[in-house]
Amino acid sequence: MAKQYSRRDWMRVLGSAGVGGVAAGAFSSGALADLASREDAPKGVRVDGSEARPCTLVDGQVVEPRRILPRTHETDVLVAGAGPAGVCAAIAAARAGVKVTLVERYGHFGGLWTGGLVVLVLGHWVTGKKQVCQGIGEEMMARLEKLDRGVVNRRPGVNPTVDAEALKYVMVEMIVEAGIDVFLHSWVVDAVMDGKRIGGVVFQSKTGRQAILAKQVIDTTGDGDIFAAAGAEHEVRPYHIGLPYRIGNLDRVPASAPRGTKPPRHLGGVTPIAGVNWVNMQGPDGNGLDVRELSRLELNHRRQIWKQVEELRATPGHEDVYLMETAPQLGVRITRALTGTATLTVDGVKKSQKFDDCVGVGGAWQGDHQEWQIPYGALLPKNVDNLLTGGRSISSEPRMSDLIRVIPNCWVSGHAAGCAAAVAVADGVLARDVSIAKVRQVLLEQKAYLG
Amino acid sequence: MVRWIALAASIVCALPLLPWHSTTIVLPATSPFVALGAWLSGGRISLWVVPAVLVAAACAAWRRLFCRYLCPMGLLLDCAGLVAFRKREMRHVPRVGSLIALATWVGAVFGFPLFLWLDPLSLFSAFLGNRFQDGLWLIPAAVIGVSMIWPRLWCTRVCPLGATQDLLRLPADGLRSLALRRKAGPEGERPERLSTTGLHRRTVLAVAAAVVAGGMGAVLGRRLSAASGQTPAPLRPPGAAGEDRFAALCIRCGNCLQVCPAGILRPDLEPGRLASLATPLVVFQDDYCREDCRACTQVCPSGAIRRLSLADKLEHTIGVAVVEFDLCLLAYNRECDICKRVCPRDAVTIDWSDKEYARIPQVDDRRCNGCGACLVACPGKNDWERETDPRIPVRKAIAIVGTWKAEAGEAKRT
Repeated sequence: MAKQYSRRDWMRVLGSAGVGGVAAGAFSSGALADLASREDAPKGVRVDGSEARPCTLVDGQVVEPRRILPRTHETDVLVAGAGPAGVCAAIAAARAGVKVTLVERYGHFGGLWTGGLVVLVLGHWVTGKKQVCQGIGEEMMARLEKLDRGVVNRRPGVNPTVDAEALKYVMVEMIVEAGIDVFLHSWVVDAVMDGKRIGGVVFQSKTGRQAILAKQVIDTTGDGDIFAAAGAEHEVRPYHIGLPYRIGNLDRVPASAPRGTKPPRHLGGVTPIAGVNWVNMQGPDGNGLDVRELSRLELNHRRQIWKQVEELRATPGHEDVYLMETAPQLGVRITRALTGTATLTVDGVKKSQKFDDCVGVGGAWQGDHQEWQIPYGALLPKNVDNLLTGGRSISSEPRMSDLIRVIPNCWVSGHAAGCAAAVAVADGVLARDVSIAKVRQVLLEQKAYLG
Repeated sequence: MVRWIALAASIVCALPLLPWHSTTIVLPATSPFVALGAWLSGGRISLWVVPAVLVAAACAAWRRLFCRYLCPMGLLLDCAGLVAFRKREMRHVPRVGSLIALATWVGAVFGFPLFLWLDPLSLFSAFLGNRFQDGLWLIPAAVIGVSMIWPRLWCTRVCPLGATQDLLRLPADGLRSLALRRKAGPEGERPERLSTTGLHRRTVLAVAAAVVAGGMGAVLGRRLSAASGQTPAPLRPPGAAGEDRFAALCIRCGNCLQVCPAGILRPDLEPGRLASLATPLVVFQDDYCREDCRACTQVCPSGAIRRLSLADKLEHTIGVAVVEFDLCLLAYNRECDICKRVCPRDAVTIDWSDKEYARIPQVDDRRCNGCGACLVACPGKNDWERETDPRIPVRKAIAIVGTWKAEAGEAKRT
């Protein structure tokens, strides 16, 4: 028979509930009071909105108001885009003794090398295991080597893999040491032209739209955003767009996996961190300048990555593997290529073509061919002055895309652009009239390899 | 003296000491035995038949002219005979040379020239030209070894080229015997050398040999064509005759193996394919069939490999590239496009597949001529299979698969 509650029992239950409720009410009102009295509460500034000058709809068309932009800053050399080429260019110019400003759209340095999780360094050596991509890029690699878990597989004739976070740190250190002015979270949106000569860039950030004036501008955006805005002749190329990612817990995969079985497809390659692999993705061809395409690919890739990781987890022994992170930046390989005063060709590479204005030497993906020279003309637009490009957007035929775009070759062309811009500023000449001999001398002083 | 000059010239041609590979063709091309055998097997007639015809005409006029003055193998064997350590009598050894020659030609008519590879000039080429690689030198070496025991056994009894010269003399001999008979009158003594019994025995033997040879030729020839289509065709040099006739036409002189600058031609030593033993196969290991080379098509004396211009050679297929995506680096999220990059004919494209969510190499088999450049460069291998069993052969993500073709002309792209 069930227990019968007496009246007294009921009173006790109800009474204690009431006390509890009152106590809870008292506590919460006390917490509210406490929060309101905190000293570090944000102090707002009233904005009445009268200064806003939005775009307006005029006859169904969106019209941007004519306005004077704040001239935030003036500098000798402005480097737009802090990927492997931009970082090398900025450090090179700063070390050559000019004032340098670096503008970057993300919150970190390294571009696709870090933010794109393209952590495998392909293409810095040639036949005979000779490393030809040297200079500032090599200095970064050497610094990474000194760090715990900074880089793995760093030995002659092998393509090393870096840790993206360690590299971001190394780049911050080097850029701060070089005394470079940095604008992060800033999208370069336009060129400022003074006739045929570029005089600076406009960039957009949370601060709004601002201009930086510069004597020389280096476009290392990868996409050639500045030379396109400045009206330089160029070519647009669709190419594979993927999204690399990292997976963890691979150290929990039993080492005694059954031999002779086909390896799982999406296992990726090692990183400096034990148990963590990075997985590349080639992706379909797409126009990296089309935001709808980029959005569509980003969505598809994220769904696919999850599927691939699930597939991996379904492989016996790999149950604990998990998706650590997807790359913050979509893996756009090639978009715009400048039409420079000289153009690199595959036939030239095969024949080890020599240039009088050689400012760098590129390598091969797997040391599978000889070194090849990069002429200064490949960085130089035909019809815009004081603008140089570096990285994957230098002047080359489409078949060169895979050689041009790899990280060490971006170091080399970026390094060359930085030195050339610094020499042009120091000598007070146009970028196209710079003394190649002096540029080469500065490059050699900065431990670049020129053949 | 003439013989020594001929030997020296032959060595120069066969090694070859001259800068042109094509000289290796000279020696086997002078053999009427090869020329007739190859023609009966259905080989194409080229200009290189002229030396053989000239030699044949000369030999019809002068008994064994070639043996006496020109044959380098003969002189080589005579030298071997000089250092013979144990000379044997060979009175009772029958003259099988003409049987070999006849059997070869009859066999050729029915599908397989049985002993074409016993031509002394192709043996000489094979002995010198291949610099003792690949085992092609074994048969000539054996012939030389035999000469050290029974000097002149080869030349007088076995050599089909020698016998060919004898056979070429038959019409002249017949005329002479007729003339002799007419001179001696019907009751006259018969000349000893042309006894009717001898002729009769020879005829009987010849007929028997012809029947056997025809049968064997037909059997071997049918085996060659029967193999068609069952397994992938063996990979033959560009311009090779159809697989049903290639092994028949090839005289195993080793010229093509010798001249290939890439070293990808290897003799077929597979025990299961007796009919095509020692014929050239394309083996892709370290190199591919170069797009700037047609050497093998220039040195074939029997027409097993057609003479081709460089442009034509590029249109003649060795096989076709086939992709096994499971071994491809692209299936494992790696960056690679080497097959596409190295293809001299732009036959490889790497196309996106939504299903695999990867880019997959595709071969345009209308463009691919099976040169193997992609296969040699391909880094995707079946390492994981070989981990447990190293006897499993290396397989790459791209393979060249032979295609059966009945006639060399059909392998040509249109």
